[in-house]
Parts: sequence; structure tokens; C-alpha cells
Amino acid sequence: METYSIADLDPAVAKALESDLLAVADTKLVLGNWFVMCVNNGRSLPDFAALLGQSAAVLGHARSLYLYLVNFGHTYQHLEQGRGADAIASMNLLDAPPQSWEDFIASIYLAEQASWMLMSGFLKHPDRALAGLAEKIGQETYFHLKYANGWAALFAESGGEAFIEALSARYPLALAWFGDTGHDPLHEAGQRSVPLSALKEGFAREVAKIADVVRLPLDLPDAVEPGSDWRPQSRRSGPLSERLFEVIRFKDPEAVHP
Amino acid sequence: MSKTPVRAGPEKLDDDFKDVRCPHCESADITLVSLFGSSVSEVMFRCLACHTFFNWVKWQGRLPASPALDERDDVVRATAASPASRQ
Repeated sequence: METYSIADLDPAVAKALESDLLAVADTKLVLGNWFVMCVNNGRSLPDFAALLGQSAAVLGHARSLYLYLVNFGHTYQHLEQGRGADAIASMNLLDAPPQSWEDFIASIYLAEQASWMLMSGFLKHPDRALAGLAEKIGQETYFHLKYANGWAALFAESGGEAFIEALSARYPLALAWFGDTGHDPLHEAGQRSVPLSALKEGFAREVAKIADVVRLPLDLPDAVEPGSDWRPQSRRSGPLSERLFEVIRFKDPEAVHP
Repeated sequence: MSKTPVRAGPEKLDDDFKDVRCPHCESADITLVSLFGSSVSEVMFRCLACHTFFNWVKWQGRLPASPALDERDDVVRATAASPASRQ
């Protein structure tokens, strides 16, 4: 039986794999904090339970991915507690806080859908640990997407315009997260089972389906053009704002159990 | 907005609920009580035939759609042939 070792990978491929996993993990870190911060905006007890459940799952995904990233030479403590705002590789989509309940649901839907697409590319990864991690994350994301779809159906009953407006406003940032999909070294190296371009198209297809739920025309814009501060390996532009970093940063490193 | 995604009639709420049966009498005549049971991973139903309340675990191994799944026949089969979801 062949054994998989990151050390055997071409250094550029290993770096690309590490970067993609960190981009998903950091997006989950910020998304988990979104859920935590927005719990009190829930509309009912089931909402509170759902938001807390999703926060636990999504933060668990971040933790699992950080643990896997230890294989790339990091320490877990550094990944979780030792990085500044400029080293967090979360999706730009989540930089601006939600402006309404509709915007919140649109944002979490896009972030979950996009991050799932990227993780799904590793379902057949040669390392069974990573493939299994992708599958477990997918199984939980399945329900998170259902939650957003359930709310989209309710938004439809009252017109749904605010939800579609929020979805359209946030969508270009989610699409931009996929970056330049023209060349995919991870697919070429057998690390990703389908090309990134196919995953990006799959993402766009899934988002378009939510128009069926809302029963409104959805004219999705293109991705935002990357600025000069675009960091392809982090899949984001610029550093995290200090305000958002204050929310997600590890507050008390001295209290960490070694 | 004061509504929540909870509705009466499990099959109307979600296709995933259409195969749920009462674990005691196997009746399909059930109603949704809560989208969350004793934990967030469970849904609570009530059987209208034998009046038993029961929890159903959401964890059925399903995955969201992705182009990557087209190449994963085992997962696709597991999704399509998910059992009657008894708990």
C-alpha cells in the first residue's frame, strides 16, 4: 500500500495545498465568529439553536483543518493563536458585518457554499485523512445550507427582494475567492480531483438555484477585479480589519493549556 | 420577520423527511415537533398513530452538490439509497 507524505510533494504543490486549506480554515474561523456574534439576532429558539450549532460545527472545521496543517510544519498554537490580522486568510466576503437579517443569511450561504466547493475538491485526496475531513465537513455543511435555504423560502413569502439584493452584493466577493482558475497546479498534481474552474462553475450554478427558492430573477454580477493588494495564496485582498481581528483573535494566550 | 423555518407536515418542510417512520409502529403518519431534539443534530417528531415522540438523527451522510461528487459514485449511491432514516 502506498503511503502519502506531504514531504514527497513538489514544494510548489505542497504550498498550494497548504494555502488552500488555510484559506478554508480561516474562512471557517471568521464564519464561526459571525454565527456567535449574530446568535442574539435569531428570530426564534430554533434559530438560536441552529446558529449555535452551526458556530460549533464551523469552528470545529477550522480547528480540524489547523490540526491537519500541522503536517506542513506549523504548530497548532501558531495557527490558532499566533497570527496577526495580516496573516489571516479568510474570505473578503466576510470582512463587512451583516447589515440585515437577509444580508446575514445571504453571506453565510455564500461562505458555506464557496468553502464547501473548495473542500469537495479534496474528497478523493490521496491522503485519506484529508479526504475524510472533507467528507465530514460536507456532511455538516449540508445542513447549514439547508438552514439558509429554509430562510430563503421564508424571504420569498414577503417578496425576497432584500435577500436577492444582499446575495447579489456579496456574490462577487465570493466568486473572487476562487481566484485565477486558469491554471490549477493541485489538479495537475492529482491533489484535487476536479479543476478549480469546475468548482467555481459549480458554485455559480448552486447559487443560481437559490433564485428558484426565492422565485425572483437573479442576475449575478461577475467577480470583483483583484486589486493590487490581492494575495492569491491567501485568496483575499489586504489584511483583516483591526475591528474584525479583535472579534476573532485569540484573547488570552496565557490561559492556553499546553 | 417573526416566522421561523418550522412548518407542520415534515414532507412539506424538507424532502429529507419523507422517508422518516415511527421507530415503534413504523407508521409514516408523523408530524414535526421541533427541528431540534435533545441535541442540535436531532429532529423531534411525534407519531400520530401511536402518539410516541421520537428523535431522528439528521446525520444521514448526505453531501451538498459539487462537481467533485460526479466522480464519487460511492457517495452518490449512498446519498440516493439512504435508508428509511429510522432512529
